[in-house]
Amino acid sequence: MPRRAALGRLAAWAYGFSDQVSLVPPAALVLEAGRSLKLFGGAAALRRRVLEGVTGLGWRARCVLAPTPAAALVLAGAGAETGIVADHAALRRSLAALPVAALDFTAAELDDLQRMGIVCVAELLRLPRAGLAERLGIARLQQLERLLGERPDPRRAYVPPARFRAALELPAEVPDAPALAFACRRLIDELVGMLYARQAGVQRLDWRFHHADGPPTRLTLGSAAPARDPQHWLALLRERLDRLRLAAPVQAIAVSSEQLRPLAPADTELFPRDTGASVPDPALLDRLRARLGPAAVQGFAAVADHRPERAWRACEPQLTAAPPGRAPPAGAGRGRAARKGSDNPAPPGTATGERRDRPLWLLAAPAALELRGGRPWLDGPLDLGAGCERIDTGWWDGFQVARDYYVARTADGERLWIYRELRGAGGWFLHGIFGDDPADAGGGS
Amino acid sequence: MQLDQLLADRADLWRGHATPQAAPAGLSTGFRALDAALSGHGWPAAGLSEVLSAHQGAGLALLLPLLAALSNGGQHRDDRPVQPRVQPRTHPRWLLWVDPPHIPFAPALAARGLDLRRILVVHAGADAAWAAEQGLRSGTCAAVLAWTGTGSGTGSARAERACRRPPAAGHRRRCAGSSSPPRRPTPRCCCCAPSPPPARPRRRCCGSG
Repeated sequence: MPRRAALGRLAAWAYGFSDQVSLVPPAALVLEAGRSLKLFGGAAALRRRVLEGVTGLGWRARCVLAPTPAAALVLAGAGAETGIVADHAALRRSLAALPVAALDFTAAELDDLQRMGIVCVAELLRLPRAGLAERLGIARLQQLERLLGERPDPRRAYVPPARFRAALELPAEVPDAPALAFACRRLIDELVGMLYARQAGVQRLDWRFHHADGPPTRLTLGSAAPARDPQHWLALLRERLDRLRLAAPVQAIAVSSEQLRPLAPADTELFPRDTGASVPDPALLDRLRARLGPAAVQGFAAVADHRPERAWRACEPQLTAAPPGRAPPAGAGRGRAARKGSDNPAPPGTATGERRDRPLWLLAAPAALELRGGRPWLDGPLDLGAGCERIDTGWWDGFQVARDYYVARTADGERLWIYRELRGAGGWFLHGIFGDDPADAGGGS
Repeated sequence: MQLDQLLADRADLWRGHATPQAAPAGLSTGFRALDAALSGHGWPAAGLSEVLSAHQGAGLALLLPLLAALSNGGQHRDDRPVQPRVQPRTHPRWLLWVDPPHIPFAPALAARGLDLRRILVVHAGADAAWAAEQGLRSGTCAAVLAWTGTGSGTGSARAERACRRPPAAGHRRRCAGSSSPPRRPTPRCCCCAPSPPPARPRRRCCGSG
């Protein structure tokens, strides 16, 4: 991987420690740590965590905390033993011990200094500033002043990318998919570091497993809500890897996310109440979908339409907050209104479509009923009851229905919803099962 | 161990026709007559219940009042014969329906007070037992319903084990089975409903065919 890209990825990860990160190519990062010290429990603790994190991502690094960014860079570059320089006096001492070659001077300038008999930084700092400026130029003097913190040293802040991309070369080819989880874990850690820093989550991760030849194996993980919990992503990934067949051993892994999404911190109340607006945990949804596929896990909703097939629809399980008032999807009044208007098509979506006189179960496809003596028959003659409900509508959207619906009873008392087709060849069909509602079974409905 | 001692020690064992004295209070079924007949005056508050019925798809109706109450976080609409009281919870939870035999018909379910937004329908096929188990273990489901078909019952055995292996301590299990002499192959539905109180996680199962 190009070094520059690697540095960018590290910068995105380092965003978790400081909101002021700047790149110093080819191989350095500067983090403004003054405001982070307290949060991370002091300079030593912060340094330890940075080093642990970098090592965990597979890099070696030196980390120096110093009062000025330029000094931190010089000290880290010179391989200083001390990792933490507490104040300006200590900074002067640490710098003084370095050879001038450790400073970012050109070879000609270093030659010049050597001819003056200056070998270490201490000797350089003892020289009068005016003479120094004359000999090395004003830019070098300013550089020294920035090093010592006598002149401000603004740096261009790193702006993290809007999406996450990372790749990893595997040290050895991995032949089976479940074993990839370990290597993927490292990429997930990197992702999560960036997500924490950005207060963001992602909803989709695209994985590519590269082989020696042939197209890469692709894998897409989806989450119902923006997520950044590493365990969550790892669990979803494991679920998929367990069932993934690899065409060839894997040499490298790449992962990219869609746009990062802001993750609202969970509001916790002092006295939690049931607001009805909070959301069921989407983690279960994700786990089920990871194994069974997105289409196998669905929610459903009622639609105000008289055609039974159109009176419900499968929908995404609802993760959005409930509308205020948290009324379950309709009031009784509106239900009555829908019933009253049964010969006028109710515009879909305006009413809620609840119908108490409907069966609990609808057959996926109407089942043709046998006719005996001109009457529908299912393990015996069906008692058609008193009346029927005509549903004749839908000419406008290509799904026309003209049927007479009956609530039929079988010989042993089961209530069924059957209809007589009025169009075409006609015939009787079983369309729904009431499912023995004990509340309604006595009086019928 | 003496039989008497067993009966005295365990709340989930009792002699037929005797009301268990220490039976934990169940969750009201929403039907007075049924509540009166059940020990604990309702569905057992934790564990697996299995409902066997002669008709396909029957039995869901028996659970609807409870499911409606669970889906609404314990509150109930006025038109129920009896209002099952379920303690409100901070977060609404899923009602997981694994492999229902037909399409659950939204207009009828909404009219019976179910908040359809809480229902997850899973078509899991061979993975049905796994899906039910995930729901039970996640602790994010108010109830898990599984229609286990007419098979050998291994699915419900697995669900029962999942009920017994709680994600949190303090979990109890009771099992109630009802069976009528099956005339046709008996469709089965197990319903496992973890009950609400967050402080003492419990889980309940009841079933319908």
